[in-house]
Amino acid sequence: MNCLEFRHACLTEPDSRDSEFRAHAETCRACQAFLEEQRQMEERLRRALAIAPPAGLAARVMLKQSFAPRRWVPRLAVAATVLMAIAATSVTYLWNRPLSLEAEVLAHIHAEPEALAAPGPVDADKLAAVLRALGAQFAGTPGDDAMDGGGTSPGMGEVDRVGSERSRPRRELAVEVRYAGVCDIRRRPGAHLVLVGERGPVTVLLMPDERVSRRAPLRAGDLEGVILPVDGGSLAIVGSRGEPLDALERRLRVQFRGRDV
Amino acid sequence: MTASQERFTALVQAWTADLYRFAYWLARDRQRAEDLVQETFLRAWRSLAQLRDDQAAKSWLFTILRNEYHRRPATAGDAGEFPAEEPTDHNDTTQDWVVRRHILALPEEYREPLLLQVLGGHDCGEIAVLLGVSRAAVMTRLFRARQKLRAALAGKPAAGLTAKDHHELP
Repeated sequence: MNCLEFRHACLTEPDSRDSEFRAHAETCRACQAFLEEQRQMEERLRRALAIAPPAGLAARVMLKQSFAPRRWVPRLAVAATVLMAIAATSVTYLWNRPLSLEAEVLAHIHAEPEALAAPGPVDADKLAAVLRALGAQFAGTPGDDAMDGGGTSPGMGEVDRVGSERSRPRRELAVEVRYAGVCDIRRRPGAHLVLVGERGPVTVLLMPDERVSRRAPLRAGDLEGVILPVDGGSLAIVGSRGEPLDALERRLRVQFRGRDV
Repeated sequence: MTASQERFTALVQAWTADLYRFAYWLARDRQRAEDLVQETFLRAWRSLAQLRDDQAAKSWLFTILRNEYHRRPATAGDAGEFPAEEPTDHNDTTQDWVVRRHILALPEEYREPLLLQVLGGHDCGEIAVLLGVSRAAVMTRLFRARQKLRAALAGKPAAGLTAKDHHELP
């Protein structure tokens, strides 16, 4: 580690325990002074940000949690009553005017914030099981790295053709998968994946029963994305505004071949 | 008390203060910070079975809080450049006030990873997972955040680093 690298490290992780970092600090007096100066600044930052939480906050959290299970029952009861009333009086209207697929996709993402918060990475077997349940196959089966024994982090990438379950992905296109699950989208089974994007998590919904005739962009709040027609269904890709989805859109080629669920 | 309740209680005792501080400096409003902490723990309680490794609890909770912050619409109090109220419940000094102003003047993409590191004690890899960006991107943002703070607090560019060096960062 040279002086420039050391000072870069000082400003990215001043409490680093990296052995090279520590060794350089012990041998270079100028950098040692730089580190000391930075540590003093860290202390200033900590002191400036160190506000005390309100008294009793932890107790209030516990209190709210203690009521949480009970509150589900009346809420569900009210919701069920409202839904039944709506169903009894407006069935025809609702059937004739369903939410658009774009609205359903966004609602689904908002309804499952835990998926966005999943720490991941998803292991290759789990990912393969989700895709298999939907009869979905990427041009680049996610997790091939792990299945091939060539990597430790499940990735999603392009392969040469659909139909080969163990096709080898092009590694430079690998994308980490943090969440994978089978879910209901408009009462039909779909796959819900969350990938690591450049600006935050990127949600990918595979919808084998939803046919769309053309590419449809969608946008709401801080989210933007696209719904794409694919062989046998459709695919939604949604990320934070500004996320470069074009590359992912080109990369995620998918085909549905009949599902298990 | 069930095992789940004991586990949840331990999480609340361990992380409430850190989560509140992070929430406050994101939202810059005490009431909203408390609401965010409450909502975070409520969601954590409902999804506790998903947390299989207690070592990952800190990042998991911070991720839920951050998502909740970005999911809820901003209020007038969030839109300001500086907090509507300044904390007064600690040994405040003029120097602290100046430092806070400079931190809050940072672009959000620099400020957020800095808060996660200084307040949450997360390393670059954890922040990368939490923000859903690459580790290299986190390192760049942290570098630039501290470089800006050093320059602002010292009134000059960070010692030992030139503009050319800056562009050579990952």
